[in-house]
Amino acid sequence: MIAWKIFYNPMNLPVGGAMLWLLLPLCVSVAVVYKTVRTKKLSRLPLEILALLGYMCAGLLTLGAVLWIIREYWP
Amino acid sequence: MPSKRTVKSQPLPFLALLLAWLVPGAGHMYIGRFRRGVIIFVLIGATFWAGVAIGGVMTMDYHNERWWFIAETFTGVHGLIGWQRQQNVYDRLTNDPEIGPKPRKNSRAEVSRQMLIDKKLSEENIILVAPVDTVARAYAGVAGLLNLMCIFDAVVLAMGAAGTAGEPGPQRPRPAKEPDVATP
Repeated sequence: MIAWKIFYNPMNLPVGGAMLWLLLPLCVSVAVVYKTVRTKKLSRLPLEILALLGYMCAGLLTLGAVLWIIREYWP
Repeated sequence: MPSKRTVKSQPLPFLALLLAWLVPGAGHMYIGRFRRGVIIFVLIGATFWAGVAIGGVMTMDYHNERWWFIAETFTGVHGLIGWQRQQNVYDRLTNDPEIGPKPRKNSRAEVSRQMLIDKKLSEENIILVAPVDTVARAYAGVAGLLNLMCIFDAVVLAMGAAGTAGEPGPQRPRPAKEPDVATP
């Protein structure tokens, strides 16, 4: 058996809904970089990041819910 | 007679673009936004390498995933290292006499050659399949696109600092203006 090496072999990710949790770090990354570029005062950065992260998560949850409803109840 | 007062050199937009692409965050450091540059450097590097950690060496795939590859190259030195690692593996596999040279595009021989390459990748346990490939390339690609935004920002700020266009650079406090004396 070949030994697994990080940055060389792909990971075995959980299949199904659990994989959606991987969206969260990506959203954090997008929120931090975007707000770092756009904010006027760095002292307000954590608050602005949290606000943007909230918007992003709410938007994604809404989108997911709408798509789930369409899939479940569309004739 | 011209005054001998030294003028602080203005940032060059082209240099800001080059630095911001090559090392994420370096463009912001160059124009004087050091702390923002450090945050960008850490976050974009972490996001890109998280993608490579998930997807392995084949995350940057120039041969099969061109659009993702273009997005990933915007991470500068990170993308170049990832590309070099992938190319080393690809060259080692394609130098195998069983696989042979690249045939004509869209031919049947090209399809069977690609199948042989995939078989070799699978034997080495580095083939990237769904859904891991989507997650890995999303991380690495988004890191590149975020850096593209930072490159634009650094260039616009450098142009603004040079008095051309864009948002002005960091403001320095000005001395309080004296009240105007009313003229009779």
